[in-house]
Amino acid sequence: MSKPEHSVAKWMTKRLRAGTCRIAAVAAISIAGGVPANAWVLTVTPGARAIFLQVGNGANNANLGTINVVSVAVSSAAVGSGAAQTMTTDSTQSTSFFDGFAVCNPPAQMYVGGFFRQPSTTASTATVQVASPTNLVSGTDTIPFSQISWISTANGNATADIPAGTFTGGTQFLVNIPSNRWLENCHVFSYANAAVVPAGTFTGRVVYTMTAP
Amino acid sequence: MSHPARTLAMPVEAARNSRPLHAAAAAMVLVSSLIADARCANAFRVDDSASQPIAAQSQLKWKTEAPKGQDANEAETTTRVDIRLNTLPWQGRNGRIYMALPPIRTGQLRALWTTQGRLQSGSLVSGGRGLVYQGPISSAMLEDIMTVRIAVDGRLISTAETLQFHFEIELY
Repeated sequence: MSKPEHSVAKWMTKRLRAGTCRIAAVAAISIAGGVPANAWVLTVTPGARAIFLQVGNGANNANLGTINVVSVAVSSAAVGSGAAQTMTTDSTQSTSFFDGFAVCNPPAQMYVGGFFRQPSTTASTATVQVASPTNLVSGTDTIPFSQISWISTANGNATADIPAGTFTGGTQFLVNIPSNRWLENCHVFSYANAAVVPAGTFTGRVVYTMTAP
Repeated sequence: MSHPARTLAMPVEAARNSRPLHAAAAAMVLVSSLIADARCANAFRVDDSASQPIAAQSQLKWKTEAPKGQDANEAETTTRVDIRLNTLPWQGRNGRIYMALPPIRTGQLRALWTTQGRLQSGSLVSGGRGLVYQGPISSAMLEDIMTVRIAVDGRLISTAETLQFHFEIELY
């Protein structure tokens, strides 16, 4: 923490005076048989490390089993037209646990955010990744997961801190979150609708993970 | 303030030829010593070896689990200690007693305490001290129970830090 120069000078002066007095006190007591030992010694240990990742609905600093669904119903006339279909989510998470601000606009947007807590001033990062299967599946029919992409935004912060992307059908890097910082965005998913597929409900699950060194 | 080293550094030849100056320097050194002694003549370390902390170790807890808000990185812990100060050497005199904490390795740490009333509540910053008693020393032992909250930027404490509190008395 930076301090005004005059405050530092004042503090140093106090320290010097205290130091001088301490030497005098030690000398005085040593005549009587030594400096008394400190009876009150307290060892403080560091605060706990922690990581927290929330995708969709969440609970502040708690584990929640909710798995939100992002979906779109493509009309038969539009199937395979190449016109991207905007998806919606059943997530209702609009506010950020960071400050209670309404950061996302569900159901169009899905909240993604987290933090990495570390008792250190040494810069470090936690990595957020997402893993998707190769395909969405409906019986024996499939749609490549790479047909789904997302953009990233947020109310009050349009910067894509957790950047836009397209699922690769594997594990892919999303973002590094610096220690002792909170990062969040709202993702809007869309289906590329590039190929004609049989009628059906195609599903697949993506898993977001966060790891810290 | 003149420094004795300046006199000692003087060449022998020059010293021989300037006895009045040498004597003046010695006088100034003596005066400086007297001033230094007078400033701290009444400061003594207080024996608190009978004090009983409730715990020897305490883990810091983040004030907010997530890094958010004004105190985003503040960590704190609260402990209790039964303070017993041996004031026998100064019984019958007036004194100010301070709790002191040497600087810590990594930055500044604050200690804020409340008491049962025999000693004063107060606070200090590492490297400094805070008043816990002022007035006549009427008994051989000053006792109280302190509840002490330690607050620090949690990022600064990455390994265990030992805080060695002690007490000082100034007579007046």
